[in-house]
Amino acid sequence: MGNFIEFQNVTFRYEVEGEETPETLRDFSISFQKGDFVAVLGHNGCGKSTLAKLCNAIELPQRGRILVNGLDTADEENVLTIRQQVGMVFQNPDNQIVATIVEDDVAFGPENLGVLPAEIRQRVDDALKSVGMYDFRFFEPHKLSGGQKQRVAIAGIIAMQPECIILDEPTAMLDPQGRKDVMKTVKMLNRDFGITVIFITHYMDEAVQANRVVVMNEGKILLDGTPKDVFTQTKLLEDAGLEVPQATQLAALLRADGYDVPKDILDMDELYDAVTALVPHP
Amino acid sequence: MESIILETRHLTHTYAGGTSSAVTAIDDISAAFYSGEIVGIIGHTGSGKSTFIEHLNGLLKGSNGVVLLEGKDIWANKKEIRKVRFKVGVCFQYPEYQLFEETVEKDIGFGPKNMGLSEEEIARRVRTVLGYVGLNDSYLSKSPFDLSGGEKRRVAIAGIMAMEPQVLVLDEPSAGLDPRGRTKILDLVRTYQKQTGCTVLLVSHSMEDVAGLASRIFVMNKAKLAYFDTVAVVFSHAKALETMGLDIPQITKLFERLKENGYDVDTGIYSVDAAHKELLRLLEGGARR
Amino acid sequence: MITDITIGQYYKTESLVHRLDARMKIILTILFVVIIFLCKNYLSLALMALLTVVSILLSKVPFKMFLKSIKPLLLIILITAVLNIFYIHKGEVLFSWWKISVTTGGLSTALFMAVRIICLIMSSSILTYTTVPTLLTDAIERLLSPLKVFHIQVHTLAMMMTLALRFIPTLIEEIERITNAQKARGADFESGSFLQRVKAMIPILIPLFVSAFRRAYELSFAMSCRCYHGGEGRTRMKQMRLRWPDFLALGLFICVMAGVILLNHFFGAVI
Repeated sequence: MGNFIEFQNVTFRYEVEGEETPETLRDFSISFQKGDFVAVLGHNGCGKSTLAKLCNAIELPQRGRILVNGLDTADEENVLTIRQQVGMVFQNPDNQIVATIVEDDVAFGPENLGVLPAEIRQRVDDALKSVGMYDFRFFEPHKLSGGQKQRVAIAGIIAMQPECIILDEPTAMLDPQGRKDVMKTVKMLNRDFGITVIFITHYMDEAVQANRVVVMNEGKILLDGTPKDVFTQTKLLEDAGLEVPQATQLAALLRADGYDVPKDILDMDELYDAVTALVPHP
Repeated sequence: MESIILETRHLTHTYAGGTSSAVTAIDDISAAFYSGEIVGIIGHTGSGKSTFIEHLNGLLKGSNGVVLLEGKDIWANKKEIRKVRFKVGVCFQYPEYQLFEETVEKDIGFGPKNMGLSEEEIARRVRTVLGYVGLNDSYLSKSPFDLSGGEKRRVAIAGIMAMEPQVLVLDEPSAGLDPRGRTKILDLVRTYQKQTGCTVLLVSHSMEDVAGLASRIFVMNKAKLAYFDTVAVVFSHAKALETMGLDIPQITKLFERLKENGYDVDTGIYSVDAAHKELLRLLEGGARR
Repeated sequence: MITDITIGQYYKTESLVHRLDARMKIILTILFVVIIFLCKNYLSLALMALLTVVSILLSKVPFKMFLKSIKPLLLIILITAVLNIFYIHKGEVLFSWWKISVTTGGLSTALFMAVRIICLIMSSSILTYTTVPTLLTDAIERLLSPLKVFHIQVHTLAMMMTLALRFIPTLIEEIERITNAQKARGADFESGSFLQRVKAMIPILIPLFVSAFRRAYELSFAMSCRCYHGGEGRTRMKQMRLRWPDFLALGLFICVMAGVILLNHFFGAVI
């Protein structure tokens, strides 16, 4: 599997006229593989949203370069191709829906790409079915719940047939049910369609479902690895203002008490197995 | 936790829906909140909890039943309803979107000004609440629009605290914040309650947040009051809560499962510390070291 | 609840008029306006009134909806009628006092004008009641597309209309939310002088504008991300196609127009 997105020594700062702004990213290098499911964590202002905006040429770096499928984002000719291949879903579901009817909104991307009408129809229906929103195709967006709106937004990206979807805190404004539905949809897209997913979030329980977790802090990579590698670094995570899953915390406490509990426990099921292995079954 | 500060009796709200049928948003809710307690209000989206809190400060009037503040019907004198809003301070979801003044000082002072307080009293209150939300006096002259997301949220909450309400209602105060911001908000709610001794109602989707803060939990389901009891008792109804579309804390789930499989553990455990102790107790009874 | 509001005046039902192509409906509405100004006597006006009634019946929109659409304009209709009565001096004098006199000609013109305005309002209501707002903006875009030759940004205008329609319910919800939040801080919108009430709106208006700008900013990002780059090279999922009922309707209107011209010619002009 090749590198789909590659950051090469990227330095970026938001330019404000007449002000010396701090560098959001500094000499930053990372690559994302095709078909991967990457969670990006970090507290607000750590540069993770900037990372997303750099991936599809919404922002351009001052130094270094970013390649998407081998295409440089700084080259204007590549912009449309890159944006077709890398779709973005944002935090506020209201501010990314353009049309007054669900199916018209999903058609927006393919229409911009100049896809033929019959094919747009097909893509829109397929996309809505895959996110489970087909029955709502004639609804007005403001009559949907937050989670439903977010799934419409995802369908709008899928209809562009991208290689990769970047989701910037897509669940931050949703209720628990909406969060679960969105997470399920995203996992399905990764598993069944092989779409590369970059999932920016604050929620640890979402991040542990990824294949790879990147923790950012002050524009740098703090940790990068499998969820097990990353979440066992309790000290580093807490210093970066992030939570550690409660199961991991408990496992660490028990280990400190001298019990033989595995270090890399991420959820309560694993903790259950570890604890019951130590106590004879009643 | 002695005297009842706020009470609802058979509170019901019915409104005409888009199509001819009437919708009951809240149905026959009778509950009493004591002075000085922290209550967590939970319920899935559309369960009626937002409608419920809008009744507590008289933004909505029930079609049936009463709301009693210190034993008096809040609607006894319609013209005085604005005064109820100073006593029951409601801070809605994403309160940072209500900021409008040029400076933080003026914005926090908006509520007290509406109360008709003197300049000195407003100035005193603004400084006090700024301390409660963990911001220093250098923020007073800043524009609220120049602050970070978490700071805006705290200034907005301070704007409600400045009215010195007897009951503070917070609707999802930590929604959309990062873990650091979330912890900060919950900490300040706890300190604020301790220092002022007022009653706090905390609406939240996060069971972990509610469990860590509240002494009692108020559960709404399909417009009705499902449970109103201590945290441990409510979480011991794990199965029922899950069928209401509510998440119970991860830790509670672990102990439910242990119990189900015959292990001798307490259920109704929801904090890391309590879980640690209970697991130790289980392990000491015959575990291999 | 506020979220039940429907954008525009669309009345949802199945009818022949609903099924007509939106572009044709716009053209027919314009044609209607032209014909009604061609009317010179009561017979031709009656023909147009008949056309209005037939269209309303075919649209299956309840008649009381049309009465509702006239209500806000009733005052204008009355004022025009009164002005006509007093300013037009033709025919027999019926009544006269000081400098004011009422003539048969004046009365007749007043009645004629009133009927004309009512027909105009009703015809445009048929268009808005039977056409979804998005289809209307689409149709306008397509009808005006020849103007591109003169470098007029037809697509941009239509896009702006669509976005406005999309965000009206969102902003109404927002106003409600902000109002509640300020009321919870003791804001008083109900009492005080006019000036005080206008001033009381500031705590609602400022957050509303701040939020509208934030939304616009985020929306523009989201649109760029979905490859939006103006109207160039853009295709549409929903194609508009003219079918035989569209041409039939056009034919009917042309016949009516011919009828009006003939009636004018043979029965003379009243006004």
